[in-house]
Amino acid sequence: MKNRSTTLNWPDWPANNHKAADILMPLSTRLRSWFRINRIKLGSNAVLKNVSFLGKIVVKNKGVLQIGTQTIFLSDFQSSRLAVEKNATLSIGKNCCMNSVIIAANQHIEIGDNCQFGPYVHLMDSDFHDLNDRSQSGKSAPILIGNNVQLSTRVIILRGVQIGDNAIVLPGAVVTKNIPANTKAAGVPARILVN
Amino acid sequence: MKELLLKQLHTIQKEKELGKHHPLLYLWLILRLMQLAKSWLSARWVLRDSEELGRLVFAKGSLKTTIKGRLTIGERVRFWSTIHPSHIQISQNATLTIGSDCFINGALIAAYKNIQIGNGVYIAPMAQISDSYAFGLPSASKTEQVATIIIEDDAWIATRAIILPGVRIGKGAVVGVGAVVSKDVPAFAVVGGVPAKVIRFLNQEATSGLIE
Repeated sequence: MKNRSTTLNWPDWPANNHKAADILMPLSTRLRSWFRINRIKLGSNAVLKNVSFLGKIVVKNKGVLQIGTQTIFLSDFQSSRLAVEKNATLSIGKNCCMNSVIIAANQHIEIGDNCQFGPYVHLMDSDFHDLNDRSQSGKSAPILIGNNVQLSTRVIILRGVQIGDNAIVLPGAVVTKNIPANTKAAGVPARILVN
Repeated sequence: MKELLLKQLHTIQKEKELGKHHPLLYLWLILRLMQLAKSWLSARWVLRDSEELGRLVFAKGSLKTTIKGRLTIGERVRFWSTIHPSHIQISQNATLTIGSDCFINGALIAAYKNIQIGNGVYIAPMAQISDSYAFGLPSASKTEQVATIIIEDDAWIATRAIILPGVRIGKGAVVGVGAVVSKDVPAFAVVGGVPAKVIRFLNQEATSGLIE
């Protein structure tokens, strides 16, 4: 609770519609998140601490869902969606901020601390269907994302991708290969910018 | 059924010849006027925080706005939301200027420092225009991430295009579907791809109406 005002600059946030609630934001966010958590069926294996959901969120949890403290899910443009299949794990670190993202975990997705994901970001760790026989489930490989990673709008991350610490992915990129730490990447497929 | 419709058409045609109108025509006209009045009123209400708001600005469907900075809108601007709700977000100390005769349908426009849109610009659904790399995130208004965007007159931005910060789009240019524009676009050019490249230039004679 104490650190929130330092990590997130609430008055500079243009994307929140709750003008009257700006003053009482810590209390109201806590209340709202409490209601959301109790209303949404998160499944038996969900671990949540001090997480806040602003706007609608759709969660389907059949595996293990872990979300660290002080992460915030916003839904300014689209309802954020988290889908965790059977025997899959989705773990999100501390202090993250996600705005209308879609995360589908079929095997394993791990997101570090202080990450920021922009609107319409998709994370998918499987192909969902086999290439030859489409009734079978497709290939899947874990996605590992480090700390302080910024994914801009409309970034799509495919299976088996590892992104290092402090990396920035520019808008509209489709990430198919690993991105090392402290770099910028852009394009379809994503390539590392040298500057 | 077909015969009935044909009969009705015949009656309408006869009335036209006699100088009368079908009563349903008046009903249709009244409904249309009511729709227009609703869209005009909703534009006045939603954009009430703007510094300057021109005449005959219409907002059809849901236009979602969070205005904390300066917004100026010219005359005869149309906001539609037929495919995707259009968003306008302006943070503190930021400016967004939209010229007259613009047509915006379901676009996402987020100003964190300065965005200038000229006259007669067409923006298609789900096009994103934000002058910050961290659009929709708390670190968006940091100085490293922000650069001004200028869109000159009569440009056309197609569906799902993304315009990155610091880009200037020339007069009468066309940004293709799904393009990510990372560099300046010259006047009367057609660009497309990720990152966007110049495909060809528009025929100057065909677009002479725009040059005047």
